[in-house]
This record gives sequence, structure tokens and C-alpha cells, in this order.
Amino acid sequence: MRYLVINSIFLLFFASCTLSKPLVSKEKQTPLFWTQELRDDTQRNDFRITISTPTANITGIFMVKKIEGKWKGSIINEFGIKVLDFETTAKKCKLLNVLSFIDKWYIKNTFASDIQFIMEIDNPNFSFGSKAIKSFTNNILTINYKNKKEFRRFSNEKIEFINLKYSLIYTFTKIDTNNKILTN
Amino acid sequence: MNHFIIKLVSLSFCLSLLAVNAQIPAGFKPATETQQKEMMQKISEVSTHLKTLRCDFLQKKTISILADEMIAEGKMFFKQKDKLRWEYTKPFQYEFVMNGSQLMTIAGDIKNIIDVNSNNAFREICKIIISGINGSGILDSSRFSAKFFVGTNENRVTIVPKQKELKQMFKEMSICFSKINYAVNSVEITETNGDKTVIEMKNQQINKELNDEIFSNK
Repeated sequence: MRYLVINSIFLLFFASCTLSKPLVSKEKQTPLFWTQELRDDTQRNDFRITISTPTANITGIFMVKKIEGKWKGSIINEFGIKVLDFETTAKKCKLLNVLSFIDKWYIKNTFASDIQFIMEIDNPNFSFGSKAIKSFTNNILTINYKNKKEFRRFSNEKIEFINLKYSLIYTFTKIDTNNKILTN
Repeated sequence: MNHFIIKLVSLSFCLSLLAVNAQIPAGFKPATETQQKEMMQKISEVSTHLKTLRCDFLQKKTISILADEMIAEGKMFFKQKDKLRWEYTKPFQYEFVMNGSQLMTIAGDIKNIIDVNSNNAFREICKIIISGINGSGILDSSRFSAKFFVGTNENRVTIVPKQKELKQMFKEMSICFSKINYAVNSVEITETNGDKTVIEMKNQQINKELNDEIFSNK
């Protein structure tokens, strides 16, 4: 009887250790955010992008391609008017050819920070990525960085990035390589 | 010393000639004054007599940072004087509908309705789009400076914007007109960084009946 009680105590102790295991180990088990279907390293990837602010919804096309170790891309509106070009690495995001209406330092800083997070989240050298908390529930992968940024993968066609500080929501819907839209 | 100066002047002259020639599009030559007047007259006549236009379009956009281009297709409907429906069908669906002072864009579930009269930039964009369809407005010297070129099957007008809102969006726009009926065959927009968007109009149906329902914002 004594041994049963002692064993039970040990069992309870080890069980509680399992329950309070740091989330870090869950991170190691969750997959990369960008799957090969969602973002192919070997070719250009096109997405429908919607940027929602508290007062407006802006739509366009987001194109990205890996060139010489950098993710390079462009955001244009449907008519082909360029909003901006960008290059990202784990260290930095550079914005180029920014449309004059948004060529303000505070807007560019926000875009650069958000685009870098979006593109480099799986890069082991991206310091913000390693500090983010990943969770995987109901087939939705969520990455939360200090409740400032949140990134969700709903499927291999749709992802969403939220800048919680400024209430900006970026929704990406994949346009397939055969140039047919996959989802509305 | 004199020999050196002569060489320097000759070289400068040759370089300036090269620079001027580089501005002349391939397959075209600058219009003479007579040809220019004739083109202006034809453009003005056609834009006045164009009541409706329906066509397919093919849009190619260079993305120099990706060393690539994006191709899109769609349909366009125009009814004089300010009704336009620009509908992308491939690879994405997007509608831009102008009906008088109301502008509506539909991208999937997202519909935006804008009063063009309250937004200067949008007003200018709408005018530019109409200009690209029927050539109207491009001869307005207060808004654009224009250069005229003559080709074998087409004539071409290149306009450079003077207004700040348009200068911020593009460097110049070239419209190619058929020599037969002065219909707009293509529009080429060059951005400030050199990237180009070329829109080719195909299967044009001119002055056929068009139901106003097409331009409704419902």
C-alpha cells in the first residue's frame, strides 16, 4: 500500500512536469510556416493581398521570388501601379521605389518591419522569429510575437498577418503558378 | 589645345544626337508639323464620335526587381462620356467600374465605393484611363506635354504629365492609334523607376449597344 502511494505520488509528479513543459518544445514540433506549396523557393510566387486598416481596405498583388539568397518582391495594385519593391534578409528589409503617397518614414518603417517578419519568419537567423511562440490548433498554425505581431496559416492558399499595434491586417491568397486564382 | 576642344565639341554633339535618337521609339519617326496637326484632328474627331467600346485586353507588366513580368487579361466596356467597366478575369478577378462621379472597385469580397469628385488623385486617374481608351484629354497642354510619332501601321503619341498627382504615378504614357480608324491599339505606361505596363486592346467592338446595367454599382 505504501509503495502504491509513493508510486502514485511519483506518477503525479512526472505527469505535472509534462503538463507544465515549456512551450519551446511545442515550437520544435510544429512545422515551418511557409510550406513549399505556399511559397516555392525556385519560382515566383503571386498572392492576392488585402491590407485592412481600421478605416479602409486596400487590395493588390504581392509577388515574391528568392534571388541570390534574398527574398525580393513587389506590391502592385491590380492595374499594375507599383506600390513598392522590397528585399529582405534575416538582418534587414529594404524598401525601394515606394509610391510617393506612402513615402513617409513612419509608414515605411511599419511596412519594412512587417514585410521582414512575413518573409523571414522561418529563417533561423531571424532573431524575432526565434522569440515568437508557435501553436497549432484546428489545422491553423499561429505565430505570436510578444502580442505585437501575429501570423496565421489557414491553408496552403491563405495566410494572414496582423500588426496588433497598429491594427493592420494583411491577408494573402495564393494565385497559382498556372495563373488561375485558387480561392476568392 | 584647339584640336582637343574641337574633339570635345564633336563628341558632345554625337552624344547629344544619340540621346535624342534614344527617345524615338523603335519603328517610329517623329511626326512633321503637318502630320502632327492631322493626328491631333483625327484623335479629336474619333474621341467625339466614339459612343461605346467593348474589347478584350492583355496587360503585361515588367517587374524589374524580379526580372520578370506579370500578365493579366480581361474585358473593357466604355460608354461616353464617363462610364467605364474594367474587368480583370485572369489570373485574378477584379472590377473597376466608373459611372459618372462614382467609382467602385470589387476585389473578391471587398467592395469600395468612392466619390471621384471628393478625391483629386482619383479624378485624375479616371481622366487618364478615359484618355487611354479614346485619346481624349491627351491634347490638353495644361495637363500634358505631347510628342507625336508616325509608324507604318500605327501612329503614336507620348504624353508626359505636368500635374503633381500624375507625375507621382508615372513618368510618361504612350498611346498607339490604328492608322485606319484611329482606334487605340495599345497603351504603354512607364513608371518613374522605368518599369512598364503595356495594355493591348483586342477584338474591339465600336459603337455597338451597351446596356447601362454593366456600369451599375450593384
